[in-house]
Amino acid sequence: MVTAAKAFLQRGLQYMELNAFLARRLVHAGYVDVQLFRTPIGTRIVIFAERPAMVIGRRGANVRELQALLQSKFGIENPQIDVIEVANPDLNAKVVAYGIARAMARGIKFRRAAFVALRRVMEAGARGVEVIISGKLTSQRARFEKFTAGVVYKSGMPREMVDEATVQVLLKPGMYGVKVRIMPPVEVPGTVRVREG
Amino acid sequence: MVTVVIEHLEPVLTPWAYLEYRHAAELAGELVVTNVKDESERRCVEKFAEVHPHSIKDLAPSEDLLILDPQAEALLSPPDLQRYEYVVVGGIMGNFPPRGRTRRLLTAAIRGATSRSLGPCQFSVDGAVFTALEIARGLELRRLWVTLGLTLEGEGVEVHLPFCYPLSEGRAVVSHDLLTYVLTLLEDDEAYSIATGRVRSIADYGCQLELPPVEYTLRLGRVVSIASLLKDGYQACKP
Repeated sequence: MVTAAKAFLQRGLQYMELNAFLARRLVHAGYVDVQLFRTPIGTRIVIFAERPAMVIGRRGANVRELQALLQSKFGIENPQIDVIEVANPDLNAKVVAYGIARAMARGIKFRRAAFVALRRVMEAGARGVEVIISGKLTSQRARFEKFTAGVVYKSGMPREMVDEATVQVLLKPGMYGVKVRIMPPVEVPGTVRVREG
Repeated sequence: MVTVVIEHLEPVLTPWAYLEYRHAAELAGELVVTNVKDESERRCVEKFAEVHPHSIKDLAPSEDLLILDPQAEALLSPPDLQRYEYVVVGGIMGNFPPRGRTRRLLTAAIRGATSRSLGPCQFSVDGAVFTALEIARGLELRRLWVTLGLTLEGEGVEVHLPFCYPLSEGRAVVSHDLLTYVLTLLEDDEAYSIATGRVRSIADYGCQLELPPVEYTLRLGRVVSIASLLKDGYQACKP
């Protein structure tokens, strides 16, 4: 008999494996996240991506291939795939983190990639952004590099509004981690405004 | 006086390692660097230190060697440095958290050699050499003050080095050239490594790094004595 705790863990594990698989497979489509909903007729899979057309493919060819893979590899019954475009990708921490990771993997200097991301996020209207790149390459010391612009809250209620994502990049000479925190353009509780008389 | 030996244990002598070794040579006066296999890299090191292609285990009897290993049980003390002829520091560019490579690549490889620790935290190579020399002059390790991590603030970027650096007159023992390198050429070297899969050696620079001038601020991390670190163990090393 499967206990509730075991079922919960299995579901979490399945999500983790699926997320890792889709992140690898849909890397060029700007994959962001996946959500699974169990319905009476099967499983509804919602994929959030920067470029949905690349997930769907010509006349749905990629989606059909993906459907077959999810069925055979993950044992998901009758998967129904929906693809949703991420609204304002420059304010999505995961999209930005993947963007930096992809730039680094192409051999672009990591500080340049971080500064470009910082500028784009701020131009999209964010109140603040923080990018932390950490890692250790062969024969170099481990270290963390932090790039910040604007305000990113670390505590209190506004902390809950911060969008945060971490991406790991395994490259030939070593491993990097990219962490992005974005404070979206929302009003922080307790903001004081002076009324003009 | 004990002779300081750095056993180079990285596959490539990167500019970072080179600058740490060079600073260690400035601190020690006389320095021996062993296990540098590449001839062109040896030519770079021989400008400031005695350099050998062979490991220290082939050059000196193991009973004359005292290895500085963070995983050793006993702490380094002033009498140790009078008893042994060579104090050996591992030429390793550390991971964070540390992976115990000194134990695996150095202590385990030299049978019969004694090992001593500088406390639970991981030192830079030049920092370890400075500490060993201070202890050789009679300082008790427990009374040494260190900073847990250094933060380097450059133009628009903060670089955090999560290692233990000894303090001398309230300032961290770290080379200015190294900090300049971290803020300038390192980015280019890493992009080259990622693009080609090949790590750039100091020999690729013709043994001469031309470091552009750069302005930076150096911020110390938590300043603690080794005595207080010993009470809390490795957990205390986290910056």
